[in-house]
Amino acid sequence: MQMITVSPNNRCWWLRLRLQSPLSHHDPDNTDKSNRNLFRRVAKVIKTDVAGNRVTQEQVDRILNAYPVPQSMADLFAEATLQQFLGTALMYEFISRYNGKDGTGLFSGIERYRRLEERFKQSAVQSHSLMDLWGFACDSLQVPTAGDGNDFRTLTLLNAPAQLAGQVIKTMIESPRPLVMLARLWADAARNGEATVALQYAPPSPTESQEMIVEMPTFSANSARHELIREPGMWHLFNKLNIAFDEPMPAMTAMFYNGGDIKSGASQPSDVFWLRGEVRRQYPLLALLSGGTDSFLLGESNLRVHSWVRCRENNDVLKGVGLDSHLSIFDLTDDWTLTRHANRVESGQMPFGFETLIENSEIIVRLSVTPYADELQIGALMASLRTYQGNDSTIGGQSARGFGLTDLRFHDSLLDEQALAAYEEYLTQNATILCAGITEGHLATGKVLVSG
Amino acid sequence: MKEIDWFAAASRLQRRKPTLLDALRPAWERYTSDAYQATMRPLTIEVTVASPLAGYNQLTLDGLLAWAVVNEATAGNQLDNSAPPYLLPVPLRLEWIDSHTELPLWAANWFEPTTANRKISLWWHKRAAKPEHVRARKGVVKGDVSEVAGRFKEKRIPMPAQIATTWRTSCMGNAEEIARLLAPIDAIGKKRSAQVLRWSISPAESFQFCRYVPATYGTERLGGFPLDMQLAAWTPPYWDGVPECKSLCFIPAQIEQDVFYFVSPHAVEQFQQRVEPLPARQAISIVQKQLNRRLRVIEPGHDHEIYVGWHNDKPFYALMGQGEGASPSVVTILSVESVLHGKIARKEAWSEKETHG
Repeated sequence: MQMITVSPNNRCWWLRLRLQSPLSHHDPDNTDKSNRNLFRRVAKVIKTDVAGNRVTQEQVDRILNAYPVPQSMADLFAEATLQQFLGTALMYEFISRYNGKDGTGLFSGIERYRRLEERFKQSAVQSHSLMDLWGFACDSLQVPTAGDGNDFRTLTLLNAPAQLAGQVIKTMIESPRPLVMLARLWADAARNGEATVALQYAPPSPTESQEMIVEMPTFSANSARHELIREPGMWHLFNKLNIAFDEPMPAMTAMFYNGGDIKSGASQPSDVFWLRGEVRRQYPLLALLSGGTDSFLLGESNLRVHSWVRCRENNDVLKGVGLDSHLSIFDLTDDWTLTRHANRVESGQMPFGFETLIENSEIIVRLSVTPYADELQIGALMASLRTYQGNDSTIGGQSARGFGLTDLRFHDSLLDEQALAAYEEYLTQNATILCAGITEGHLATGKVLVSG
Repeated sequence: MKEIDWFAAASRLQRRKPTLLDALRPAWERYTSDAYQATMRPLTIEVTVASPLAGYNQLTLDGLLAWAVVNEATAGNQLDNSAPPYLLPVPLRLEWIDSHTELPLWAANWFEPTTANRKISLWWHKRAAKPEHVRARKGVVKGDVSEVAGRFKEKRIPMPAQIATTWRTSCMGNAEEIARLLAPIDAIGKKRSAQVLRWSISPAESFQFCRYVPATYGTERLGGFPLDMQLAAWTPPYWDGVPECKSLCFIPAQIEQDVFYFVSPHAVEQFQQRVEPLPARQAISIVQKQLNRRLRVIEPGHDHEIYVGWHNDKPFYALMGQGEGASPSVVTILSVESVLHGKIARKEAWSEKETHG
């Protein structure tokens, strides 16, 4: 038997959303106390040919010899990995440069080590090399350039091979606290002039270093689904049926707007299989996106949404459809600082910062439908996209402040005018029953399904 | 925390007869026919994805194929998840049918990552309804719709996901039919988060279960008594709401390396009296695990084999004898108060690491 390879060939559309203004889309996983928000990130595996070459023993020894540790501390690194040691060395370097007297920049006062930990972690999330990490950390902690005669040593560390740097960055993101503890001790011991010893580590094994994991700025598929399809799809349907947004019961509007939720304590009716099929048949938009009635879910949606930022690191996916790029994702981000104005007694002023994706970069969205999506469902999809194009055209946060305006274009395909016309015609011909189904809560099934 | 007695819990479950939907009957009859079952070959199945794979549990091949078969038979209208367990046909070897639940065990493993991987959290943001959606409706008053509590609450939902780009599993199945069923699946995982770039199906040398299968399958088919068991789902649709899909399970690939020892009722009593008064099941499990460390005590002039084990840092000794069948038997358990322990302390007897054949 020969190997069989199959690539799914469901009907799909690739969309290019070119940003007309910077995109603000923050990370919901951010839990620190700072007044700075990073762009949303998701880890991604990058192949070695993009990330760099394998690490040699010579490269590792060069860094270890540049950073001998005080003898009293050698045992504390007995169980530490190479990447933990290098992360500690980086923090030690920062502390030894900027921790004189009251400290420097934001690295001062009793909160200095909390800020150090937070800002190094944020900087690690933003970085794909130790050079970047150092630059971002110095910038966000507002410390000046400090030449203390150790620049050559520092640069030896900052030039660590890409794969190793990736692992240090990962450690810094996941558990910076022990690194800060060790670095503080190290700085104290070094100040006392203790004798030092160079540690010994082997380079990461080849199997570990063929790929590296990078925290990539991403635009979430869930956001794309809401902003491009669900909300404009609802606008289109309600306008077509002449329904005001506050006319149906809140749970009905919620089902179209955000998927809704099942009522607490509700029990599923016995004919749910039939009801579900009937609702999906009557309302193609709900078959496409699904939702929850009072007592049951409408089944799996027939639409799949995936999204990527167009950049070099995503070429493994986007090259196949001719959307590859030579720009790195790390060249496409920018920092913004805005100020909340002071009130009349001049209190409450607060600067806040956030990371954005720059103007003219592109979000690529892939929409595909299952083989069970009929022409009316595809028409509902097209109606949503056209409504988005013609109305809101923004994605992400802070659109009121001018962020996230897009120009949506189809790549490699066209808007399906025939399906759109069929859907419009279906809504026109069945407007009375469809409108009653929404406002009276029975969704054209003859049985009240949404009452809350 | 009180330990859950899974044996007692499992025996109290109300078993319902599985349903074979009319729409699925042709596929069931076809896939389970003798002629079709004879076409099954060991296979490796790989999927390459372009985005993170979300989900609380591992992706299962038999679950995925069952989903594809159901979709095909019902034109995308899925099963009702409140109903009794379903018989879900898949083009895999029917390895065994549980006589209690009448549900099938299919010869398939679960997907594992083959490239670099990391477990992450993806966040789904369920937006709150906008104020203008609820302002004028008659009968809706202030407080009916809240962003912070109840049905209309704004939610941020974390979902575990993994970022490997290639996932692999193995099975005994019909390659052509599996390829046909997988071809339209262009997204997998919770919320269909992972976009599928391609599926590859290639021949393998053999098949072995490397995932949880029912303990009763172990006793009936493998002739052994598994040591490490836990309540797990083992057959499609793997739903929490269908307890028949779950039972006490073990992983054959792990367990077959262990030797099974019969622990006599007397030995259990002695363990309870001399070591710790634990429930019998727990005592047997401890003795089995410790014996599989293969630490034998050599006592000159003694006919019986004696093994040493530890519980709560204290040694105990298992006196071995001829058991029923091929399994060695534990006759009794001795403690630190025994004469034997004194001999070991005086180095008149000693222990050494040995390996059974």
